[in-house]
Amino acid sequence: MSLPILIALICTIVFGLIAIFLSMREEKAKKLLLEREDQQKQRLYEITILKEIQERIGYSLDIEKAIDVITGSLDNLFTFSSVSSMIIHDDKLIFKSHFKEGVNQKFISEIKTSMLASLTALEVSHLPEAIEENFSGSALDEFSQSVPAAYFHIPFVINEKVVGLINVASKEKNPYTEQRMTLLYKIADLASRALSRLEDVLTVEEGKLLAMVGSLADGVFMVDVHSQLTIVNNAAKGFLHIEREHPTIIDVLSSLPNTYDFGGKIQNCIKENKAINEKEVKIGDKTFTVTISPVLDLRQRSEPRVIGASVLLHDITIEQSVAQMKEDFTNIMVHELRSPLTSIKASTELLRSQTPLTPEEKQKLIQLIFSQSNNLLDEVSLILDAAKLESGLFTVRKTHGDLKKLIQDRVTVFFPQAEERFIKLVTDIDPALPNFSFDLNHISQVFNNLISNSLKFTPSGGEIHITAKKVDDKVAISVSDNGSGIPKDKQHLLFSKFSQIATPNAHVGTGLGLYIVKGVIEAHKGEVKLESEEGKGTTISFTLPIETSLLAAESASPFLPASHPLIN
Amino acid sequence: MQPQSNQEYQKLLTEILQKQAVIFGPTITFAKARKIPGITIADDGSVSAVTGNPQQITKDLQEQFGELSGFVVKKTIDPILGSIESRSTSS
Repeated sequence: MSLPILIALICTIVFGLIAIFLSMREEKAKKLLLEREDQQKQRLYEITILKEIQERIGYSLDIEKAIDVITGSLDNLFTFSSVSSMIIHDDKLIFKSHFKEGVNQKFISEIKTSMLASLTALEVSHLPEAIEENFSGSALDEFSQSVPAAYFHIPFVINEKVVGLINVASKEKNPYTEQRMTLLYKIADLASRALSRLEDVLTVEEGKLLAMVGSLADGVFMVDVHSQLTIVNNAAKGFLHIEREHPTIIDVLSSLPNTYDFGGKIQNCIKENKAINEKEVKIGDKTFTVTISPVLDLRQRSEPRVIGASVLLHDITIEQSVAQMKEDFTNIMVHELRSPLTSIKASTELLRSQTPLTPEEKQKLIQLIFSQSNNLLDEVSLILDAAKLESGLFTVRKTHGDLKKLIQDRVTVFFPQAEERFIKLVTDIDPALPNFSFDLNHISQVFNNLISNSLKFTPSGGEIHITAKKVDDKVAISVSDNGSGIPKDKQHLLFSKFSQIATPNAHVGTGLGLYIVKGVIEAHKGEVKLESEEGKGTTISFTLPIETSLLAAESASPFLPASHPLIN
Repeated sequence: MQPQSNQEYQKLLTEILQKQAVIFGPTITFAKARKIPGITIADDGSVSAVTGNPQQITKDLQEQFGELSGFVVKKTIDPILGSIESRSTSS
């Protein structure tokens, strides 16, 4: 072989090898490129599906919709004969199939059986027997002889609970690659995780809502469109005297008064999407306003759907009794002011008339006008003080004074009245009590109110004790009687403005007395305390700080609402 | 008792695969099983031969089916393997 031929041969072999090498490299690069392209497509598919699920279900936790998105997108991945889903509901299974080609009944039946077997093998705790079927796509083809030659199931799991299953089936034997099938499982898994997170959020939010409803002082319960009780708070259970932890709608409705037909009203509210108000509904010994409102699903803002009704029980027992007290107070005030005025008017008319009167009779009438005017003035001062206390404008004018003397003077004033009713007025006053700064007029008024109150509620032969002693830098004073006492449930009302009117006693007055007592003592930075036992008597004690300086001679009332006095 | 022989492993692996086939369907189950080196899957889905390290095979099975559903593996494969491991420890 000549050299040129040999060189040509070697060159051919070398170039050939290079060409083969380059071609192989190109093939490899192409393959790599295709693989990358495929991976990118799969990634894009993943993102698209998850985005679509998010957009379509929003925050509704609608598993059926999420599964529909996945099954509706399968054309991008596979060729298939049918794609089916089986969703587990409380009362039924929903079996949906979409057919890409005609299949027979046997094909459908085999898919259904295999899906049920899968759910059974997954040990779903409650698998309803009822199955609702829903088919779409190509029409049934009974002449088709084929059965599913290849199929796979994708369990849909939300927070460790199987909620449904997807089935992809084909008449062909090997239409799916393992990689593509795995991708679909991955997408279903990502969707399940997203829904699990959403369920967690909704569970937390539901917990917050239940805690909020539970903490309400008003009674609240909710009913769905199937008349099932969905929420009932503790206040409602208390108002309706329901002891069961998880009551039913029957428990609730049977505790409500029959006369109002609440069951019918709840149904009407749901049907007509209209709130219903019931005023002054008596339940046991309490009175309520009942508001039944439709509960709307606002996700479809243009046309919100009624999904139930909420019932609010607002206890108005106290408001009602306060309103009654105010009415009674007005009536009594009118009476208290009218009586002396009538008496004054009658006396004046008699004096002005031509009726011949003896000087003694004239003097009696003038005395009557004088005493009734004083009574009237006292009542007006009382009302004025009460108004000042309420508006925070009440002030005390302190001067150095002798409390021992003040108490003795007050006792002397009431002594004839007590003696008339055979009631002993006993004082026990510490002789070493120092003089200190206090408002002489208002503290006198305090003793007037307390002693006159005790006289009202102490029967003939009873005793009233007045004590005063120094305790540290205060004077502790008490007025106690062995009268009828105050019922426990009325004690908290005693220092309120209209309280006395509510007490079942014949000796009614304006009811402002103890309200003023509390205001005056608190304006002196003292404390009022009530101890009372029905049938045994009442002690009202209070303290006055021993102030010797006159710097704070005038101080505004730090008056607190009526619920504040200490009640033992 | 821990499987001692290949036949026992074959039986155990067949049992696992059959359960997976009911849950996931045969197509994906056997496609996944055929990816695992050291076992041969017959046409009927049973494991006809175990040539690899049985413990590695079971780990591979867990991994392959874990790609489909961690929940299912936890519920169906882990208890079987767990009971084998505990028996093996106690014996």
